[in-house]
Amino acid sequence: MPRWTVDAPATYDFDRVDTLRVRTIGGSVAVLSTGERACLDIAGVTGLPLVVSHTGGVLTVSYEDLSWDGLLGWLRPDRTSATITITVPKDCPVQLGVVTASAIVSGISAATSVRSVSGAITLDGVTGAVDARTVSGDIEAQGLGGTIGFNSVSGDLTLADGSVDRLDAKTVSGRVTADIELDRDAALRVATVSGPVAIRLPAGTNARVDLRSATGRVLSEFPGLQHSQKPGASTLSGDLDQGDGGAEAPGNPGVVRITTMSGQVTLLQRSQPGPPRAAADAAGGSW
Amino acid sequence: MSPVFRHGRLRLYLLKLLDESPRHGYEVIRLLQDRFMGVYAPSPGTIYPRLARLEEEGLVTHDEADGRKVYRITDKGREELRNRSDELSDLEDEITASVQDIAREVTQDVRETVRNLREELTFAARDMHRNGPPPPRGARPPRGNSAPPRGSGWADPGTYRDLEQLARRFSRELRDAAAQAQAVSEDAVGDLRTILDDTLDRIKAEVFGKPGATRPDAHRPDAPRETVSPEDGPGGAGDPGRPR
Repeated sequence: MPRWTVDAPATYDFDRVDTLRVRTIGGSVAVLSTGERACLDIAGVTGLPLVVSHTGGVLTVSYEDLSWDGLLGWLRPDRTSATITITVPKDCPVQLGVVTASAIVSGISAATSVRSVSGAITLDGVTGAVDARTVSGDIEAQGLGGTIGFNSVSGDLTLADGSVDRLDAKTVSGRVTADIELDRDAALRVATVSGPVAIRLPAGTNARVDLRSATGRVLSEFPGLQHSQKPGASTLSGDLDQGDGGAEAPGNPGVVRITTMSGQVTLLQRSQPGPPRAAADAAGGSW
Repeated sequence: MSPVFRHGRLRLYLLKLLDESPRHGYEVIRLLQDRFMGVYAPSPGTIYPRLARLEEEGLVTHDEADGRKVYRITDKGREELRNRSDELSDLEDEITASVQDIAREVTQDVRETVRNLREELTFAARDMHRNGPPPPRGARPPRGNSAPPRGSGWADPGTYRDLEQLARRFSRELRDAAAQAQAVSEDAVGDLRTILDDTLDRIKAEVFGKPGATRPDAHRPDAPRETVSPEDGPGGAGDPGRPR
């Protein structure tokens, strides 16, 4: 089994990589998609040496005796770090586990899973099933698609320009900010304890909405939602896109469910609809 | 734009790509994408206005083929390329940058977008929580009849609302103009972007740039339109006399 111990800068090329697993501590890990050969670049190794193995298309970069389970119990991030950059084909599933290292994944269309303790997670154009979990790092994402799971304790979750089929975001105190479009029949669920939530959807989004906060305020820029205020629960619910008189978007309405204990919830409306709807909106007299 | 192309170097690189062969705008975008290992893709919104600018300067020209523009370098363009050949070889070194550099670019790019978004939505949410949700569409106050500004500056929500209303009205009228024009080509969008970018630069310099001028202009609903009007050729996008 090809296996190397790496304690100095090195670059490796691989003929075939169809699964990538990286477990690391400090520094950074970047995974980029490529149409060419898979490539691993390691620099700035301090502390323990890395162990690289490549067997049957599975590329693993890790430390000796550092199992998935042992990752969190094994913390010396200040002394152990490396800058790891990997290019793989875009359909290669990716699993990253980091402690303080920043993690970057770009252009992958296969299942992508990223776990971090305090390292920031950056995702760019990742369109497979994405699952990102962190304790205190921020998750920052752009151009995601498909099924997305975000989870943090205190890290902020921010998602720009995505077209989402399923988004499940949970955080205790982190802020959740998203500017996205919903695919047909999409489900967007956000739950926080104290973190504020601001979601912006395009005008004309066809969705059934349920926004609730136990003690925070709940506001929507979309008209026509029913407001109800009871002790311990402020809710806004109803259907978006009911005013366009017959110009129904195809497919079933999506579902938007935002729940928080004490955070405030804001549903904003992006006023420029996408090109296919622009003409209909202009003709229908809505802005 | 990516920091890889500092100091107007994207322009130089565009000339180089067109020197190799005449190309569609889309092909140019694909080639740039290839050089960055598929990791960085400049948007049409970055490339088309720059091609248009190069054309204005006479460095490139285009032919129509199958309804699409094929860009070609001119002799003047080749001369510029020759004069800047040192810079070009530097640039090529930078472009074959290591994957590490590309990863850094991606991170910066996402971080910047996300940070701007977070600020924008946080600001919008704060504004809404302070001023309450907007009235339903039917109950929207008549255009141009916004509440008189109390106080001045950004701290005043009324001023901000006026500005917001202006921006909305502009995009609405722009959309109407586009709908009337029926087919809007990619090139037209490129032209539009150039015009709007220039206009925004002018607004920044002439309206917001002058100290003292910001406040009176910012809350007079028709002020930015005056600034826009000399520029808004196609379809009368900023025409105040919009029939509706």
